[in-house]
Amino acid sequence: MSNLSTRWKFVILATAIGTVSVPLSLLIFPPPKLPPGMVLPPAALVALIGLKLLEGAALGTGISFLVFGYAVLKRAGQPKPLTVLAYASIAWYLVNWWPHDNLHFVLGASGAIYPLLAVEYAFHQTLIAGGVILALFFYQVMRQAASRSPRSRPPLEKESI
Amino acid sequence: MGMRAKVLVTTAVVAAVCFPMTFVIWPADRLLEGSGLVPILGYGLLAGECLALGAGVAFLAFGYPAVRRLPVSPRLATASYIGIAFLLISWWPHDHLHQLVERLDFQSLIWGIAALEYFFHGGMMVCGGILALFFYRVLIEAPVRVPASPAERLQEVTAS
Repeated sequence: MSNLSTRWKFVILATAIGTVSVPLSLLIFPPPKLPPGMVLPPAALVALIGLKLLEGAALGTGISFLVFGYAVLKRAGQPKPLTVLAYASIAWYLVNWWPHDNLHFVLGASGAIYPLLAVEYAFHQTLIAGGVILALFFYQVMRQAASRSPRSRPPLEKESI
Repeated sequence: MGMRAKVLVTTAVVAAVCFPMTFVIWPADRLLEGSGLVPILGYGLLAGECLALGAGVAFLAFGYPAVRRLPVSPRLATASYIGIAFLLISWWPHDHLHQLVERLDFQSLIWGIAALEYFFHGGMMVCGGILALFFYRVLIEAPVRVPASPAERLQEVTAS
């Protein structure tokens, strides 16, 4: 493993975690029982399995990013608090879907409102905060990269956000 | 008006407009109607969604000049710019459509949830991938900076 490039290590770790996460999600978050007399249409089952695969892939990519990503973001030369927050936000945007979607399914089926609110605050509000942090980080990186670019483009406003 | 003030004003105005509009477009939201702490927490969520929508619109309005100057392909630059905006704007329709879908009968509920999850959750995963590629291209593959000559710096100052 030590002779592999970082890119391959990233892909192998992401694939391994993604593969394990799909059966694990069925174990930790067993699908809610259907109402009596209801049958899940086969096409809907395929769509839901597709979601599980996407969530697993995102979880694996997020954990790989947590392991290998900080060195990349550090190169942006931004202040350390913003870099750490951007790193955490990107990872959260990838990792969160696995517990998030599963909890929505499990808690949504129960119809209880406080658990739903807890999910909304824990996931939706933190993702919104992550979006704001990423917009700021993206803007700062854009300004820096644009000032390095040899392209002749209209000048930027000098003030940063 | 400076860029920071423009962004803050745009965010506040858009949030102030979309907050009351929520009750017109999605009149029945069980997170805003319950008893006890539920409506307080529900209004907190709504405020967060409206502010995120405002921030997304401000980013769309004022972020583009920097996008045009990026040292990556215009397609990747534009996709990243739209991706960031989607991460901010999508929560307002996303959360309320979830509330709406929950009221449907079983068959429609399954298809509604699948559609929302693919469009919003899947869309955000795709945006995450685009942003990862953007940061990789800009931070790892970007050309090494060559210090500008005095003549170039003078040209930049004159142009700005």
